[in-house]
Amino acid sequence: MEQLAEISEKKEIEILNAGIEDAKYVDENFEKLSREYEGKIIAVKNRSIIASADTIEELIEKVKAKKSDPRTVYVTSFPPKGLIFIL
Amino acid sequence: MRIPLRVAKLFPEMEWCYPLLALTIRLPKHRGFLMTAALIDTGSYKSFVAPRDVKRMNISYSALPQPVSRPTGLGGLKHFVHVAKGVILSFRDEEGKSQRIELPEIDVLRSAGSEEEAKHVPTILGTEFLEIAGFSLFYNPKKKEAYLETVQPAPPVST
Repeated sequence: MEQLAEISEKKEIEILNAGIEDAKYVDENFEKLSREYEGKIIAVKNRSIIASADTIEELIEKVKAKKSDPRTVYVTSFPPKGLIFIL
Repeated sequence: MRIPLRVAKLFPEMEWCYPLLALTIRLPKHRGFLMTAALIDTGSYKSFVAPRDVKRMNISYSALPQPVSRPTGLGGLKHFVHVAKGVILSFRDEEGKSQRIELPEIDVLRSAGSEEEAKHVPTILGTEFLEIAGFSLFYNPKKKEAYLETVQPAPPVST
């Protein structure tokens, strides 16, 4: 993984832009993905699901196995039915 | 300056949507870096890095200051709170340019209970973030439109 000091402002914008696109992908497919990945946590890269898992530790290992950086991929989760947080 | 926000669902069963900001979080003292989507929560004064994001940052809780004395409730779940000093948040404005805000500190959460439920808790930016950055929040859930905006002071009127 790149060290913190090596992540330039240009690279940071690229990471943000990719994350925004991947979040849009999740929003556009929310109903389908939430059924398929109910209760799971997922990682998205280039508008596709690259890993899903029951725990964040497991997800991080799967993302690393795909030669991706867990710090820079878009990560979200789909709470199971019946679980709602009042935030 | 205007910062576009995403308005999105978080809970499959509910129609509720939330305003979310895509950002990077740097904790230079702990060599922490992360891209995430944070919920703008006007019901919280403080900002929190969620446990799932702390783990992605690959920073060790043992390297952080000891947690404050009492667990804090968030989303109905209890968390231990480690206060990390010196935080840099970066995000994109509507022109695609990078904007950067420094917070003196941020609360880094460690689940004090069920990891199964805690993994669904998102990172949160509270009103302290809005105050420090000088942002106003515009949120129209019906139109699914939201943004942060700094309002420039009006130029003095010449007489």
